[in-house]
Amino acid sequence: MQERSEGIAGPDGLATAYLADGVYVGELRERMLKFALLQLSDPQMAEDAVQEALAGALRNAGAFAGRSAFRTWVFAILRNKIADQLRHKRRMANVISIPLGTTDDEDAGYFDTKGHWSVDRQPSHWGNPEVDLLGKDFWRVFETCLDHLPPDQGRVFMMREFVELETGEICAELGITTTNLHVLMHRARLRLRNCLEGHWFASKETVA
Amino acid sequence: MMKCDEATRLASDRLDRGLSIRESLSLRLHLFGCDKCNRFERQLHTIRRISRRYVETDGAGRGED
Repeated sequence: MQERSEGIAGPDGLATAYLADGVYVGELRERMLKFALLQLSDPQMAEDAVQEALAGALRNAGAFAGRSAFRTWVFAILRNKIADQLRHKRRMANVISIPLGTTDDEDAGYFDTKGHWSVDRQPSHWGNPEVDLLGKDFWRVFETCLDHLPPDQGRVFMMREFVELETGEICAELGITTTNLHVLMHRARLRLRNCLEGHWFASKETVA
Repeated sequence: MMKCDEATRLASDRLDRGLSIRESLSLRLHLFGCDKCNRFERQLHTIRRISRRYVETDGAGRGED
């Protein structure tokens, strides 16, 4: 992967400079909070995670050696904080309860009774999307599609794909079985795929 | 012969757990003969790449500018 770190004078100075820019930090903080809220659902916990991540970034500014983009680095710290919070919450026996095993019509509609793809849900060709080049409009569609996942599917999907927790950790955190987890991930991926295809890859219409 | 619903389930599972040899072979066999599931499988990998990218840029979609 190509590093975007050209022109960095001193690694230490760079991270500190980023964090000293009030406007930049304000905007970064807002995005971090949004991200943390998706995972933690509790505003106070999300706030704490962001605060600790920013403090950690400042404290360890020397560790940011220009090896990765600044934003990526701060978000990696935030991801760890969120994972910590989730583990802590589990110890507090304050497990989030999510409704499980709810299959609505939407979940059932992807295949016919014989197990073949339904005509209106079958995957179309996406071309070869260059992920690095996806722009603002795409991310807006992506977020909308995420928002449309049922809460249990969205939670599990984000813990797995965004926070990158291992399946064992997710199951322990949510008090679900591995089978439950696989079912939820399968449904989430079917929905997300379908939504992305309908609103982006197979049509250039944007979501209202 | 495995059906599409089952094949998509295994394709999804494969991103979260190791498949048994038997599962792996049946999936491969199904994907060999099914364009739709083949696309599905590739698109799941794309979605994973998209998710990683989303976290890296946190959806700003503008890289580090």
